[in-house]
Amino acid sequence: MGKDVFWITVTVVLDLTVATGYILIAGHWLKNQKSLRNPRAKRAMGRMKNIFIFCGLCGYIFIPIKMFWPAWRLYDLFMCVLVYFTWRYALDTRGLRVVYNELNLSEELAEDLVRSQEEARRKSYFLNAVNHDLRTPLNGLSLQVDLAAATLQQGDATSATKALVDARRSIDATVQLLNGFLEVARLDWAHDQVSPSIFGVRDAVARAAFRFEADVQAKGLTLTVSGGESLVIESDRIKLERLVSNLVANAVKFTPSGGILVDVRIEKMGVVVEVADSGIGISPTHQAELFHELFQAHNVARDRNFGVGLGLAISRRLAKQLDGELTVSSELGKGSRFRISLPNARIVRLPSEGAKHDVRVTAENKESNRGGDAPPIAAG
Amino acid sequence: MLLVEDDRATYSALRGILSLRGWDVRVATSVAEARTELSESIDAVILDLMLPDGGGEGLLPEIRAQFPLIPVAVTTGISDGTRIEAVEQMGATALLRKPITLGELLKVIGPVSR
Repeated sequence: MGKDVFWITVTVVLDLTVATGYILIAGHWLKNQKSLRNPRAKRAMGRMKNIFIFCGLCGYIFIPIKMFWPAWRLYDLFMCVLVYFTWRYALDTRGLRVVYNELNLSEELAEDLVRSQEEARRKSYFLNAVNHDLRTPLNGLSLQVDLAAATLQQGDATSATKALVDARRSIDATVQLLNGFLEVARLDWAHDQVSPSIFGVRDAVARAAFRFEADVQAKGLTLTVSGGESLVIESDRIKLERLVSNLVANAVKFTPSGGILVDVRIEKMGVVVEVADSGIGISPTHQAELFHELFQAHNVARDRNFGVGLGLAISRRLAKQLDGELTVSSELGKGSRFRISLPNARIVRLPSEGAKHDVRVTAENKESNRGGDAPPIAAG
Repeated sequence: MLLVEDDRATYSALRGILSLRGWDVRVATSVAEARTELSESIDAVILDLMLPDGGGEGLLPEIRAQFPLIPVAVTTGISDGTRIEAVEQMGATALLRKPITLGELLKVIGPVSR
């Protein structure tokens, strides 16, 4: 009996040693499996853990058998081997941590690589577009000058003048492009100041939108400004007007028939200005690229009559400067909806519910009644 | 002479200059227009790559099939190396980078053949 007590004690000690080793390993697994980012490594870890748990459980099932068949020396030989391997593994897990960290790091690097490849692709698109957009008007300019010289040599002053007028146009197009770049650069420059003032949103939005009255009428479209009567906020009025007029200009450009609706309203998150049109729309793949510099969804030939492709890049920067956001939802062939949300613009006076009236311009109705609407509030 | 170019300033100037030198210039502002123009006889082609309805290089095989010997000057403002290489292999006589100079263009298309 005394002999048995000795062997039982040895076995229990060995069992407990193995169990602590198991606990260490299990703790390590639990911790690292959570932080692992690579899904395949995570799955492999999970499976390894399951095998280990199974083996452990099997070992403990044998404990009662030992009680009936006390071949202690044999058991304890096995247990010694198990203790050795368990603890070796438990100590090795420290080294494994390095492997896991490496694994996570390489996962992060892979994500970075994808991001920077996308960035590089966009940059190369931008450079190609800049290159093309600067070379095209320069080409026209250089040839117009050649033409002017050739016609002057023949004494044909009328043709020479015409060529020079065209040359002037090419210069204007180049200057317009360069001004756009300058504006993008300025908006990126953190020191470009926002100058907040207190103003009526409806008045500002209507003023920005009706700059395009002539174009709207020429194309036979309708332009409606609605909502936001007597809503007064504190924000940068000039930047908001610029933003709205950029969006309306785009809407006019890409709407062959139907109309454009500019709507001002208050939502849960704050002031929202929406410019919706019934134009040609933008496909989902193009929507993702839309706000990048020089991207033009419907202009593969980069025809300058469709602008230079900086309007929306500038608009998004303007929205960011107003502490807001510019988003788009659109369906090809059905129109687009650009939404400016200004969650951080302070609301000074809420819109009046009762006095709701829209201002509208149509091709037929040339007398818009916008004079009477939303009296301008003195800027602070 | 067929001039395939969608930039108004460019084609009006080229038409003026080449007319002064005796060329009869027909202008096509898209790939589709150029295709219809290809039905008649042509002595030379000036071809832009970026057109509103696709790449101008798509026309090169058709031009070469009909007129294997005429000079074809491809003008381009693009800087995409692989696209330019492809154009050079498709049978363009010369590739001129915009802004093109009149001298190099005239060297490619040569004098009016009468």
